[in-house]
Amino acid sequence: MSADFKGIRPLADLLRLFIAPAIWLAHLGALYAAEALICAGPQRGHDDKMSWIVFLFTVAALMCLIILAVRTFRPGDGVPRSSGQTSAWFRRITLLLAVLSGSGVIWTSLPTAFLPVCSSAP
Amino acid sequence: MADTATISSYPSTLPRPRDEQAALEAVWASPRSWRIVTDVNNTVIGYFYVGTAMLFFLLAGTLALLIRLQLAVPSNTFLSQETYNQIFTMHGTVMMFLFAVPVVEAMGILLLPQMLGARDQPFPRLGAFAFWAYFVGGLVFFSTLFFDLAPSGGWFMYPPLTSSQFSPNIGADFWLLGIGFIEISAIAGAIEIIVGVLRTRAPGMTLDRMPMFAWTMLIFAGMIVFAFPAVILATILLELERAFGWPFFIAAKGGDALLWQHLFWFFGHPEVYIIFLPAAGMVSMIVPTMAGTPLVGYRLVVVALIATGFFSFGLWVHHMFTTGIPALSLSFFSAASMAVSLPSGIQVFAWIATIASGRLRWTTPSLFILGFLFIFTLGGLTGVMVAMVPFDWQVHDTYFVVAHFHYVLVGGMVFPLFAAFHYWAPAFSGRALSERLGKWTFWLMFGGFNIAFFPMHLAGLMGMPRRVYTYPAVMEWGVLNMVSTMGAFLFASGIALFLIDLARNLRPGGSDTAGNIWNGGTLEWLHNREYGPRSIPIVTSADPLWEQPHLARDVDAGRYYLPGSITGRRETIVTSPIEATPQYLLRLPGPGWTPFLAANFTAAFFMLLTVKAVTLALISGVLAVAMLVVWMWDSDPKPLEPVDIGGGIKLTTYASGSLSHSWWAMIVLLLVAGSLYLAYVFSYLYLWTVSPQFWPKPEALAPVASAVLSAFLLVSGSAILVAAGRVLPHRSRSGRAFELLTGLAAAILLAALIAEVSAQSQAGQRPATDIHGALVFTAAFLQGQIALPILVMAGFVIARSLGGRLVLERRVIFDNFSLLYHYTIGQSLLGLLLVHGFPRLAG
Repeated sequence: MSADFKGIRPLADLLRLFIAPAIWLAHLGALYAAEALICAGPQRGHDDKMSWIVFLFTVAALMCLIILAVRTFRPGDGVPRSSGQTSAWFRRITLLLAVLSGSGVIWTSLPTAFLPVCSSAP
Repeated sequence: MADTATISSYPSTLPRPRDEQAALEAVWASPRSWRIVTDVNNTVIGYFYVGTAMLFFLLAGTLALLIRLQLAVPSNTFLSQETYNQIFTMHGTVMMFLFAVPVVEAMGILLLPQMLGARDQPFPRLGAFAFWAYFVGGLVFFSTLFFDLAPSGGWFMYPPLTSSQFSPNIGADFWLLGIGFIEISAIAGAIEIIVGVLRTRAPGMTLDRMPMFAWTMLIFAGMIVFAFPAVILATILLELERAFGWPFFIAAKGGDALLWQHLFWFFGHPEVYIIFLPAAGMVSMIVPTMAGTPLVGYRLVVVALIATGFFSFGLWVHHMFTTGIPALSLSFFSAASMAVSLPSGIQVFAWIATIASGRLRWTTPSLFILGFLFIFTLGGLTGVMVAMVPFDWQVHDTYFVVAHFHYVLVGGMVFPLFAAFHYWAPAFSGRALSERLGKWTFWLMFGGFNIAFFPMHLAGLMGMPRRVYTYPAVMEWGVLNMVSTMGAFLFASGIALFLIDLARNLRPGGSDTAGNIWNGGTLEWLHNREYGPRSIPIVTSADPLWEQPHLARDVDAGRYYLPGSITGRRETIVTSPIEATPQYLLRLPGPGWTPFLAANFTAAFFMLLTVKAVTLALISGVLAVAMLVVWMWDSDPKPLEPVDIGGGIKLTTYASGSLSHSWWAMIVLLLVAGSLYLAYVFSYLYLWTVSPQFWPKPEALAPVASAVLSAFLLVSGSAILVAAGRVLPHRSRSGRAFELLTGLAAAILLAALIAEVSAQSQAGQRPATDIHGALVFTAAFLQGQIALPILVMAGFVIARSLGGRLVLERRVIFDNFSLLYHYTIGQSLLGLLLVHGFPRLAG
């Protein structure tokens, strides 16, 4: 029996489903950490620095999501090497999660456009 | 397996041997009378588990009624301030930790094997251990109320109120040790559920055909793995502060009370979804049956579940909008809080669309589902309101928030749970619950709930604060509170009616159940007994009973896989995680005293430690470990020749490496350990941003050479264990070299820990002096608490090798030990880098 299963990497293939929302979470965590660290130092003239960091993190997160999404269109890559139906199902799920996470990434980075860095709440 | 020819040849029409079913029943028979406590089967444990969780629901509900009596009129003297504080703290704590999480875990333990077509959970004794630990620990914890020893700092236990300065009695310690311990039981259950869902599904039940409840339980358990360690770390830190003065939350020594809030809510917010998602899974099972049509948007609902699971971890700061965090950070979390309504909305629309595309029958479960949709949606809407930072500032700590989270929790979880009780009762009981009483129950609960909690929105908007034991006779607070109290009692009368219904109609445990009275489409509606279905079917769709005609009849006639006991023991089929292809036959343990005793001794250890009976606690701890060792001695049975499970499929009876179900359990356990350690790393860095002045200059730190020595020891320990794996003996050869190397690796781990602690001591670091010292020694503490089990396990590995039970062909125990060992080395190296490297980098 076991010879049939050598090609499948069940854990890795399963974890692939979770990459897109994990990117969203990592992006949020990075923005939060960046502000916390920037505001821990002397607080002057950090608006530009933070804007750049948010921009770079957001572009990086979106790039990762786009790569993940594009890979789902390449059969036999980025999905379990399994029967066609389950495989197509995995691809769709991964794609939908990438889209959902992408909108989440954009949405959570929007506040930077409207609020100053390190300002305390009134 | 499962090529087209095999599937088409099934079900087999050959007659079954006459005594096959009787033998199967004998193997799975439960012990009689009081020996039932030794049983480990998921149905027995599941009944106990659900029953105990409901007991805590009633107890905590009674506390809620006491709260409402006290608040019914202004300036009431029914309860004293301290008693009231203990009661509301216990109400919240018991509802969240002893009812909400355990009851969904219990429903998982009870339902999942039936739903997935397995005979039992993959680790029956772990499930039994988790239950008994929860049962004993929970009851002891609750009984503190009767001795005026209950915690009184709120269910979230914020320091400094809960520090030894302001809460000197042991109530807080009961919370920290008791709840910390019960969380361990929740994690044990979560590991069981993850491996059960991924590895014991019926052949052919690919992930895209899996019942939605199983999907939600998978996400639920995954969230427990990542969320619970944060609060476990928080409880460790606060207990270390209370017991030994390590100042994690004391500002004067560089600590920060807000750290608790971060750690608590990093657990506490996902907790809401941990409770909600399984309930949503129940709804996704009940709605299609009641509407008579498959769930609309199965794929989108899976997407929504996964997204909700992750998004919910990005919301914790929205419980801290009034703590002075910079406005931009608040906005990130405010945006994330709004974003989570997207996946939640997908689920709600999927249910509405399913109801619209079918024809909903007006049954009791349907009513509870509609009640859920109404109440939960209202709670969701107020949730979006409090996600807005300025609005939250206005209503924070008022009754508006109390109303909001009761709408979400009771609406989102209790109503689906009652729908589930009415829906699944016929699958487990000789009689269904009464439809007439059920509808009365629903209307009393629905009316009572809204009468009780809707006015709280108004009271909150009028400024009535939470957690006050009484209030002056001003404005309309008195009227609103009286209405709330009446509603609460109406709600309670609905629960009482439900209990009467249970007493009249519930007949669990028999092999003749009321059956598939709703025409459900999933496998739990097969004729299930203690051992699940008579034979384990091939599944070819998401609703097999709807799509595969005669399935129930053929399964019950034993025409599919594993119609009897092949090896004379309890067994189930282990399948691959994605495609559910049969991989091997898992021999399961039967009844035994060890899980029950181990759980009792573990509970005794924690509870005795709370009342500072240290010697007795240590004796209990040693006994608990002894029970675990006895329990594990019989595990990992000897490989047998391949067996025929039917349909011409031969399976091995042993698997190691990533094929083994226990490898998966160990990986999940490592994720738990890793999450705990990352929470520590976060705490370290967070406290540095708060009090960098407490970090010593590089020249005052322990010398780099000591860190290098520790690192060298650690790496060589890993190398030695790899070498041990290489000399693992074949059946006939001596294992002397293997035993020696394993012992050496364990000793080296201990040596590295001792070297680190002594280097830090010599450098003048003391844990109680300031926050830096406390954090340095916490790293060592966390190292020690994982090194101790490794020492015990190393002894166990050596003993098994000496006893001839650990050889190359039977190596799972060693593989799992190695995984934990190498993980520990990795964690230790990260710890060294942080503790020795970070101050040099930052200084």
